Amino acid sequence: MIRLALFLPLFAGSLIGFNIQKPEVGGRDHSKLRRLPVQKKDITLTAPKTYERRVLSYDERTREPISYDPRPRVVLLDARSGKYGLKWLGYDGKEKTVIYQRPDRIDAIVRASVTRTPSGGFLYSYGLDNLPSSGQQLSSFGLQTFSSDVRPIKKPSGYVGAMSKNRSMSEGNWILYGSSYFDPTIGPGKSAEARLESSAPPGLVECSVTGGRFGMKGAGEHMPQELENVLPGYEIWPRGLTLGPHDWLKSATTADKVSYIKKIIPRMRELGWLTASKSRWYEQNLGGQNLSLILQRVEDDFRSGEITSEVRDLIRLNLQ
Amino acid sequence: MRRFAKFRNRVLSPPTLVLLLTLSVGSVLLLSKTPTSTSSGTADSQVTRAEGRSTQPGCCGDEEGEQKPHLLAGSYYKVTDGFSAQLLLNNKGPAPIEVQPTLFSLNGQRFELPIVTAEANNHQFIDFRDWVALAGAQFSEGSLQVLYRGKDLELGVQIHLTNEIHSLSFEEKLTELGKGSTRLEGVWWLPSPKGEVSLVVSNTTESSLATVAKIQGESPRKHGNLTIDLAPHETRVVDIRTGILQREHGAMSRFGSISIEHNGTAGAVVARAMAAERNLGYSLPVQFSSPAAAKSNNLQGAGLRLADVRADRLSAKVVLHNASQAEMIVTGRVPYTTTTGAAGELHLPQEQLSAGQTEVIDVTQLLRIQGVRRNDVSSASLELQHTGDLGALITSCFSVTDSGNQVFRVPIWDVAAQRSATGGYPWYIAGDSSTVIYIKNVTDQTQNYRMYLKLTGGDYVFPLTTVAPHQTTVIDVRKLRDTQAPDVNGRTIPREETRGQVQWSSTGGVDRVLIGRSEQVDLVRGISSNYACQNCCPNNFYDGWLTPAQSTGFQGEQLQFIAMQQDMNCYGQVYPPYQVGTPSFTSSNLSICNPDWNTGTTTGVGPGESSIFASWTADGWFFGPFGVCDYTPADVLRDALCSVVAVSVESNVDTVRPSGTGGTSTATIKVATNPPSPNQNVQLSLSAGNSTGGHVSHSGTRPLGTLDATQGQTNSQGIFETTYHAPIFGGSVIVSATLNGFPASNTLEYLVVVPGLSEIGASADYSLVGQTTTHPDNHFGTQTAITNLPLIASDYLGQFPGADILRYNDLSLKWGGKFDLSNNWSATGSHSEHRTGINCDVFSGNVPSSRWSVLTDIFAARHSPNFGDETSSANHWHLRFSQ
Repeated sequence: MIRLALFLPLFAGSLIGFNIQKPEVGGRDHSKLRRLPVQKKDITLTAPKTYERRVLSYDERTREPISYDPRPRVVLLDARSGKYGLKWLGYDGKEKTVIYQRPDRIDAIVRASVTRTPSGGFLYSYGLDNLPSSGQQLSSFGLQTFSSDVRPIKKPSGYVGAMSKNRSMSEGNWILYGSSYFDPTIGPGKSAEARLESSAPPGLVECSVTGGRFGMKGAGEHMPQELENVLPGYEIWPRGLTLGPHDWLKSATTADKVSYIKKIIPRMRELGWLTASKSRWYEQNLGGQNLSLILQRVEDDFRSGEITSEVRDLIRLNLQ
Repeated sequence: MRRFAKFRNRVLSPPTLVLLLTLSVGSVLLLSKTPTSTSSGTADSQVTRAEGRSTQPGCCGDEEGEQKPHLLAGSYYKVTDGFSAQLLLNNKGPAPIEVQPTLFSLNGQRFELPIVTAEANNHQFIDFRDWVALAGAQFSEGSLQVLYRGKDLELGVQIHLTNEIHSLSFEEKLTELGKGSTRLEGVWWLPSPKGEVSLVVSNTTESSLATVAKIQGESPRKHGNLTIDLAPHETRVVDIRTGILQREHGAMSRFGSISIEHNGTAGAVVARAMAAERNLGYSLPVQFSSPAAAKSNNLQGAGLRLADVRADRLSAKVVLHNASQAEMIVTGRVPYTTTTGAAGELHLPQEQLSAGQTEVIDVTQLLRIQGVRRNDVSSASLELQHTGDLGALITSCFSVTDSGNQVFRVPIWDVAAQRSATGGYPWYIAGDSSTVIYIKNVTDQTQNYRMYLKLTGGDYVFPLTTVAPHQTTVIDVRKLRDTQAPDVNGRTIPREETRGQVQWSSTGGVDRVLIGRSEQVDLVRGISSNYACQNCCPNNFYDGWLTPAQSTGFQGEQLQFIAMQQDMNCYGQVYPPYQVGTPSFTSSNLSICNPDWNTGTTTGVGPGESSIFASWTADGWFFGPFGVCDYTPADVLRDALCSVVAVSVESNVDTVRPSGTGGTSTATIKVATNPPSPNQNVQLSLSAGNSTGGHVSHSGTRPLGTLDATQGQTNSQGIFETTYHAPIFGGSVIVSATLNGFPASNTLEYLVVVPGLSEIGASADYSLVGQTTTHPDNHFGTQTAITNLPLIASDYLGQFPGADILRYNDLSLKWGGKFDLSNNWSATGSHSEHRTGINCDVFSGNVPSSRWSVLTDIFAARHSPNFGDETSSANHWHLRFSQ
């Protein structure tokens, strides 16, 4: 119960600040449910309101700085693809421009399914749907894990690896499936898949999907500090919830697991992972400890499209 | 003004008498009232408060003080036969003195002249012709008496008898009646037997008396006696050759002695003789002395001239006469100083004089024998000692030119019989004449004196003058005036100034150590005269103080305190102040003001106020109960206020960020004074600190930043504020301040730095490249950067085992700020970022392009999703780690 108490607040508040996007069609296997796409923060890129004059040189005699106004500004070049021009007057008096593409002009749904492996572990599969409404190609998928045993299924030329903790991704251990992992380019309307194996059962975790391209081409001159400061960090990465390995569930009692699942049912309902009626039913029956009935109904509910694979696999693999 | 109306109402103030008696016993402490001096320290713990100024000494007038009557007599004046006569009144006191002159005709007829006022601190001449015009033709020749009230010797009176046609000059200083004896002795000298000597005897009393004059002439040897009966106030003039020696047509003895005895009361007869040779312009006054008044056998004279006068060779001669009835031995010497300042001494041959014998010593000849060039001597004097009875040696010393026209007489005095080591003489510059002052040290020890020249617009103050043993200082007033030589206060004698008074006094507590006189010389007309008049006692301390009375400085500043003293003479004349020679300085609080013990140069140590004390011993002379001046030195303690203002340079921060790195790159500088000192001039300057922030051996000058104001004034709170703007480069910058030109107690050192940067460690997973001798520390970054760069490298190797390791070029410099690749403090160029430790250039040249997408994914995963891709232009990725 201690672990549960620590964990629940984590995901319960993890989407605070994000704009809640309407559920989209939840993939190929369900028609009654709409998974909630990854959420975005309302971050506006604007020119720095205050900035320093840029020192061009120092007077040989007085050592006073000779400065000029670099006029830094941010120009939206393409709202759909999230491209901006970071502009300023260079030392040579000419305007310089660096193109920055913000990573949150993607609408994406993350579909998770988990299966048992022959060795007794769990295979996590993530379907990443770049929705047609997106303005960007999919560039990365980040996943929060709470297990020391996480083995991403690698591809020969793609990158998946650990992410450093940052202010936005400070809990658990995040891994990133980079743009090189998804080959070829996953444009709007296309899907991709990422997988990993773990000995830990599934629980609720955060994830992130970014679009566009990381990095910016240079302009032959570095930008003023104030423009550099305009660039958003990980906080702009769209965030969502999905299933991921939780070590604590490996040793949790059935009662703890039931309690955990029961508590996250409302959240899963918000994520579009089960219908309202099923939400109530599972809450009631989990409270009655009628596990065999629940296990019997879970596959049927999935097939009938009343719960998603996430609900099914969370219950099945934790309570069976 | 002292008037005769008070003559019968003189009052001796009892408190004055008590004070005099008290002060004559021992020294007295003279202190100023010092409100702050009670604070601490030993300087004020031993003293008693008293008035700061000395009271006017009640000396020299006995119980009658300044109302004491003095009746002076002069034996002879004459305004006929080409002679003019002038009376010199020389008032050394601070107040005018009324003088009652009385003329007596040769036959003793009296004429009371109108009262004359002798102006204070000055001299004046009165032409006898004016008085004779009032009195009548019968008074055209006769004697004189003057009466005044005042202290002893306060008024000097002298008759100047001059015959300009023959270039003759005789002066006679009036003597106070009632003093002296019944016997007077004198000697004469003539250039040739053609000369003449006139003897004048005058009865100063109301009674008839008989006088016997005995003459003993030499070369040729002749002698004779004459009894002269004198009616009351009668004056007789006798030509010695015809009237006494009875040689109507014979040669006159070239030198000889005159002895006068009378049957009147002591001092009843005054006498003078005038030796002259008219056709040469030679004149020599013969002064008579009373052997009974002698107090020692030590006779000295100041100012023996030896050098040529207008190409006319001088011969210095000394006439010696044994006026006793026994043989005596006379020894002597002539101490001199050469024009180069060297001191020398000419010893006179020992003379053995039998009773009544008279001899002449030619000093010039002795000099020649000893190889001393006369013209190399700048000053000289004469000293004589003799055996036998006191007062038995009668002398006359003078220098005479070969032509005989110019005679410079040197009065010879019994040193022990002098009243004090002081003098007050008239000085005047008329026509070609000038006044020359001689001050002679009559002792074997170095002596000091102070001298003042009274001018119409204020006194000319000579520096404390030291006279070597037996040497003589010479001061030519005309030369002083014409060369515009400044005094101790920088004052010069106005060129139009022609008359005044000179006053001097010995210092040091021993009296009768110096003798002095003035000599009025007209080298063109061949006339000279002497004047010598002492004060009754040496000068006294009058007042003292420290200057400035209050001084404010800053920590470390040197303040100069000077102890000043004012003296007054025994008549109450106050002189201008002078700097005390050897005061001792201390402070009530050495942690505030610390004076040099000897110089008074005071160092401001800490803020606050402190009293500066100076103590010294000052001369104090009081006329004692035994008729002599007693030395009662004054221990003087004075104070001044010393304030020290602490000046500090302060700032609200110790570090500022380099300009262009975001955050605060400015700082408020405050120059504060404690205690607050408004309206002070502040100047600020910047200089390079020791740390250059990672830049080494750059060309050009490191920019240090700027100040909104580099100068200004402290406000009403004693504070000056301005803003410092950091440069774009890291490094330490020192802010220095001065207040009124004096440096503040501290300097301020700003560290222009991006805080929190650390150096990335070495690893086998990556290589650190780009170090240069000019930027040896080029891998400093934020914690995020130096944490993630190794992870990027290991991720890359994990992804591509065996790959060439990543090469990390410049992050930021040690202290951040602009990374000038050009090593010349250039503000532009590459690495415009790389200022805050979030950037690092990852070389792309050793990363196969097939791996670039993986590597950039790693960048994105490792805190640098916003990296710059400069692979095409500069073979590297420019990482930007999150802040």
